[in-house]
Amino acid sequence: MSLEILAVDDSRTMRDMIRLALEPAGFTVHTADDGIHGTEVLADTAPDVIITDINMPRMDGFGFIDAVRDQAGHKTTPILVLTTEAAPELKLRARAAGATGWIVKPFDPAKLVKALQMVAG
Amino acid sequence: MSSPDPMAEIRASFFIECEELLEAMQDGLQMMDDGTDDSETIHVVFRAVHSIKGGAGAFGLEALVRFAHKYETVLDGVRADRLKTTPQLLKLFFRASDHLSDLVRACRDDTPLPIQNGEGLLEELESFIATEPSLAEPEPEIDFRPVGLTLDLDLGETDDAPAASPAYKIVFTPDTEMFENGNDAFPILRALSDLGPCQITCDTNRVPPLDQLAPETSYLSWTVILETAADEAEINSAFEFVDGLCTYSVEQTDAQAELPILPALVDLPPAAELDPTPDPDVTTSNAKPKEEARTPTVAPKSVVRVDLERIERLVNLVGELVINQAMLAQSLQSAGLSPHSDAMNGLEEFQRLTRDIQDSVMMIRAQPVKSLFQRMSRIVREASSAVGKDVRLITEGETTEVDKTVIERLADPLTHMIRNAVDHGLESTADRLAAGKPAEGIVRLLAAHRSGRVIIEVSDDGGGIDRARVQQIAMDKGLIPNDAVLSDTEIDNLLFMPGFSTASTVSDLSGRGVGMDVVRTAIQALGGRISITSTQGAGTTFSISLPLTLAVLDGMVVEVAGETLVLPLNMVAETLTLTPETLDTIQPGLHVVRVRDGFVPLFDLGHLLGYRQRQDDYTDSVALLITHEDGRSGALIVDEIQDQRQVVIKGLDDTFYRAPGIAAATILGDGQIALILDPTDIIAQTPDQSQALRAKSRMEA
Amino acid sequence: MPDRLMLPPRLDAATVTALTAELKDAVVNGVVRLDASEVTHMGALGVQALISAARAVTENGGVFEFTALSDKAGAHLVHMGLTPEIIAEGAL
Repeated sequence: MSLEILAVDDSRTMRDMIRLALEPAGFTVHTADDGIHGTEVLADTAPDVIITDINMPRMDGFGFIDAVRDQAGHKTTPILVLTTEAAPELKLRARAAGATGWIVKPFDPAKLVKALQMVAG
Repeated sequence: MSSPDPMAEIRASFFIECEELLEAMQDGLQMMDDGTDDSETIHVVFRAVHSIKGGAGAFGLEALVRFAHKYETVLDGVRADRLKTTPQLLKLFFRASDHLSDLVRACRDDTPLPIQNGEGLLEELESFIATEPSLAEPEPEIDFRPVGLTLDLDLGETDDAPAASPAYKIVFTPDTEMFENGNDAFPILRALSDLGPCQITCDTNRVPPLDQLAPETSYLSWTVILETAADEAEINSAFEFVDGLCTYSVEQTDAQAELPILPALVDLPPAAELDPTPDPDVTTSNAKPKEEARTPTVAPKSVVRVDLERIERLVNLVGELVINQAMLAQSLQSAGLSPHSDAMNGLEEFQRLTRDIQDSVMMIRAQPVKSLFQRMSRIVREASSAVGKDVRLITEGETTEVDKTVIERLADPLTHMIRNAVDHGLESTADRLAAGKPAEGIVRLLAAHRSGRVIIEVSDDGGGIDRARVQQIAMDKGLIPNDAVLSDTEIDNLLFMPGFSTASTVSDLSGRGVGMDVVRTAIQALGGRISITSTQGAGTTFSISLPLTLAVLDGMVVEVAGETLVLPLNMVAETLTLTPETLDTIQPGLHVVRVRDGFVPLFDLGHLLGYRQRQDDYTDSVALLITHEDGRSGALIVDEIQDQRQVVIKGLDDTFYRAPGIAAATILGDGQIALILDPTDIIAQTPDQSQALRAKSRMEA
Repeated sequence: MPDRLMLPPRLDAATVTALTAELKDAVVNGVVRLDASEVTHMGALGVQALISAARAVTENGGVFEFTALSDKAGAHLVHMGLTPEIIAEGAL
């Protein structure tokens, strides 16, 4: 089953890592450089799951999640937040913003795939 | 990761990204230091360090992660207004940035990590964290570890779970909120069933009649009897994403007894009893944190990354195009076409386009000098603390674009000039105060485009060149005659003589046997010129003028013995026509020409390059006056000056014999290949005749 | 066919209100035939609406059945301890 993923991260390295982890597993990966770019890419794609970083220029991850959830078509699209810290406070903030789950950076590719498959249903 | 190659590639690209991030970080700190920062600046700095940490974690660069983490924590304090940016803190940030850069490069090049000041810096950062209790991390630092994905769903060993596996009874009731953010019940139940054999029962008791059903309200709950070798923590991890958005309980049970008699529908205990959430606030907190919401700032420039090799190839092709165009122009002209014919008009347009293309291609290689300037700000910091002076670097024109190779090759000479400015240019703090100047010395670094060239200036507001002392030193060292009468400019230029050092004490900083002569050689090798201006008591300015690119040379096209040669125009000081009055012979084979009040040796290019025998009489020949960086001059004899024009430099392959005095080659408009000379090489090859010349000068005087 | 209901790909918080409205209309006929062939996400909110509708139909002796079921939808039901049959009977 091929899932379509939108990964939003301002770090090129991180985008490359995500791509590298997901494409061999048969995912189709779209990427965006920040929240604003993410909403633009989202307009042209229909991802099954969205992955987003938090600290980004122009529009950060929280703002991006807000923007996604404001769209009628994406009220329940699973969104995974990439965080560097596993602090419970951060997870709660991500969730309060409307995130479905979180992935701690750096991530293990197999587990990222698993998490995506899990939330994608 | 199927093959190691993509990883290596990403790793390489991570380090390139690091350079960009380090630059953004330096920029931000500089803005904070200058007071030109805005509310976004600290976020930019924070994100830069944060991203470096993130990537470093992915590649297991623990030392980098550790340092970046500490640094980031203090930055976060500033970002959240918990810490004030004092000058002291900014200085620490600058040093932390320097160290972070070192760490990044050490990791990239796989060289030993710079440890010494790293530990000290960590302690200093710690002390800031300690003074601000809210920054102190809840867990000890060792707990920040790249931990990978915390979602452990795949640990269950369904097939070979031992028969004696304990069984758990799990009761799971989603809250309505759980469904609002993309979560659902079946992924969690599936994750549980992945842990081992289980029986899942759905409790539908609370589902109301259809006309009373509130569609988005959660009514279902589940009981799972799970046999698994996994421990409770692993079971809990299945609920990680929904912790606080549901009630669930996990308790060990006697599976064998319970499984067969499991009631289809269990009576659910009251939710309050089941709630295992350590923090009850969690379930009710739905407020969306807005603190990170910021007004969008300038959109990042869109950038394409291209292999340098491809650009080189394009540059070469455009070079060929320029040559071809010139050849076409020449043949049309010699075919006798009128300059006003359509063909010639069209050619003119073609020529303009070709130039534009050439300029555009050169711009691809161009980079802002910012990265170079940032390195210099670090040099100033290190140099000023080494000599105990308070120095501020002011940079201007950071966005000025210069050929990438030029930037790379400017780093060393500029470093040396900056060190000199701090060490020699600026007075000691005591002297400055005595002279009524502010204690803080200023070093100014400027870049600008002026009339098709790049100007780079290094200036200080120090005491200026002490000309009497310079002249005395030069005399003491036998560099100039004791009775020499020199203009201010000539004295200033003595600084460029090899081995010249004005420092009375050899300081740790610049007394390394590298003088301004080396700087000048490096600048000339880039096709540039360097000059000094100095005002007593007010400071010294070194000005470097460089061509925009290394691929094109402003050349003087000359003819020698029927051969066409090109000399770099920046090396030619003046052109002379030799007359019997100015010609002289000091000793057999040593011809000189009188230039103003001195004599300059003549070099017969036709002979030196092996085109013909040495001439006996040079009367009416043309000579090009060349000034060598060590102050020696020479006049190169040519038959005719043909033209001054830009030529495209074609490097000579290493397989060619390295002929002395030949730098490269070019193809001229008529298709002819012409060698590009290195005049200083020609002058330097011949034995030093200064003794004889000086004797001659004295005789004449 | 008024008695056949095409279920949307995702049965979740975003679609369940519309689905409930459709189910209410369909229940009036006493015959609800569900086509779940395009379902990729059989969410709990959708399932409880189906169960409630099934009860409403079966209480009056009507027909409630699945005419088609995607593999995914079937798997999701199994993970929730359910089958199409259990739902059709109102999970009682």
